[in-house]
Amino acid sequence: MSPKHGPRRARVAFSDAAADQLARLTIIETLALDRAIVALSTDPTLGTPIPDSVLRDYQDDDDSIRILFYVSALRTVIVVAYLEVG
Amino acid sequence: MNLHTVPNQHPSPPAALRAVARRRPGPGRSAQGVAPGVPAPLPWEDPSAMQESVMSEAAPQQPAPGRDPLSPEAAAAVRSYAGRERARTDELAAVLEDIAANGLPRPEDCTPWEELRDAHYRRLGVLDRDADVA
Repeated sequence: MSPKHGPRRARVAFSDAAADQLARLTIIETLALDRAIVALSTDPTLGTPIPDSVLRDYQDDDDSIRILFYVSALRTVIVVAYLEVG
Repeated sequence: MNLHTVPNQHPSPPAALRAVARRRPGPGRSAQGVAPGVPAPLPWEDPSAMQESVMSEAAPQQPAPGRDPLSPEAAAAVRSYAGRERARTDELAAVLEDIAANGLPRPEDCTPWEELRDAHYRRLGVLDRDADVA
């Protein structure tokens, strides 16, 4: 039987600061952010590391999105600390 | 080019011009009523006029040597873009400074994306109450 889902995706959670930023987004921006988060959740190595820290800086120029995040120690949760859309 | 031969950009006005300028309204006085054809106060006679030309964002600027000047509208648009970029960078820097000072936000204290997203869509009126996206 073929698997119902693709590769296991990490859960994504937002810090309070990032949640406040989300509240300012339009529908279109939220849809674009959703696409970026799906991409991140399937490949948390996307983006570039901020040197000497666990933080990573992901930028998607097509959707004008920037996400600052880190992956939890057990690599099960992607914590979004900051976002920009548009 | 020998720099010593470059003429001064703001030469001292000839004596006749100074005499004309002295008859015109000074700083803080209305220029209305001045006969048509009389030019505006000269910068060297009117310090407030010179200050305005430096301080006002809408005033056309003297292009710097080797630069092409922008229209007032284009200059305002560029300033507006600069302001947005500055605000964006300030917000990012504030988050980074907060992490540097206080540490990383704990996953257990964060809110799952799906929960936030669906609540946001409901606020925007694109998702029925009690429904979720996926």
